[in-house]
Amino acid sequence: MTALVKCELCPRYCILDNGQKGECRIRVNIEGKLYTLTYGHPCSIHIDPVEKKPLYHFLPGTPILSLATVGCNLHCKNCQNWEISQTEPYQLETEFIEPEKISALAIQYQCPSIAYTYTEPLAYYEYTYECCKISAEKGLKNVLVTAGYINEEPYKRLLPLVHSANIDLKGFSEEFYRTVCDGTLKPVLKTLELTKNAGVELEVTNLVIPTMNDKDEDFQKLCEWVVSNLGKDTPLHFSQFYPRYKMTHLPPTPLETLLKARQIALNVGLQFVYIGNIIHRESSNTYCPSCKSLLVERYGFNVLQNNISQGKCPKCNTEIYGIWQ
Amino acid sequence: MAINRRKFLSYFLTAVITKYGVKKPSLIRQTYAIPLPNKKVLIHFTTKNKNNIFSPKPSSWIG
Repeated sequence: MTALVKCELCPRYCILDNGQKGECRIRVNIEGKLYTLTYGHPCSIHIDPVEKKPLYHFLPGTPILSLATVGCNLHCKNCQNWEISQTEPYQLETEFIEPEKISALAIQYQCPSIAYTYTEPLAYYEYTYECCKISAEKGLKNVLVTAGYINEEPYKRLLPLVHSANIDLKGFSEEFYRTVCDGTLKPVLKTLELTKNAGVELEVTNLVIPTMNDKDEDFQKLCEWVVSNLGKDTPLHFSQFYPRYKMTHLPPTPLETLLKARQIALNVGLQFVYIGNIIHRESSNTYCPSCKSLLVERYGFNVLQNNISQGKCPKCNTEIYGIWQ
Repeated sequence: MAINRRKFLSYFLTAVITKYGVKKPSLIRQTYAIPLPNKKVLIHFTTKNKNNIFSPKPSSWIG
């Protein structure tokens, strides 16, 4: 009789019978061994501006090689990339691209960093790990864009290879994570703390969904937790929701809601609060938390001016959180 | 932690069935997965045009 396999990568702890795939759709038990189906098979490779991740405190204005394989261990009803995150590995065209080729591509196209993004890089963990390892050896920087739904041990193993991360904090209640994402909040909070404590440049994104997580008290609680546990210098992005996947009945997030969320975050004491997926110039710029002078001016994903000098405000010499060169 | 009812039921039934004479399957805990070697391919990837490694991507994707 073939052994059952318990996958301990993420807090789902899927127990897999022979031939059965996990909730992520990409990890499978074959004759008592756990295999990853998408290792070396990215379904998406693209060069994006780093601002699209979104990362506003990491090498502004630079291109970033971005890749993903199919699969995700969460099943958010509002998923904006559901065509690749919520599909089976064999449903999309891919070819085998070894990790060495990924870093070679980044160098060839003059990208100083690589993003593991679009779907869930912690679900295709082994590919992410190998790519990160080889890229770091070649002097490239690694970026995770993730929901942070992973167990502590494998995440700690990966963190020394990571330079920057944008982690989704999708809501601030267990109920939201259970009903909308098919997950739980607590492991995500742990991942956020581990990332910050490891010295990785961390930015947090909250996708604001009308009627689901857009109450004042939702923003208040989330921002207070960020200040208390990650620090007031942690950049926070409020992103606009678009009707997608299983939430096509909801309207896009109004600009007013995003501005309200930003104001609450600033009132709580966060120093760098942005709104995204929508053009709003003032809320896209970085200002010095001390003298309030304009440091980085952005329009959409474009950097119009970057006045930060050696990581500091040129006027008052305040050190600005981030990786700037 | 959300309980996956399908998997719980599958494991529970397996345990009940195996109580009657059949050996209970062992449970192996694994965190890290092995890349699937070609000889074990259960799925078939279609091959893309190798001259264009970059994939078309809808502008609506985030991240």
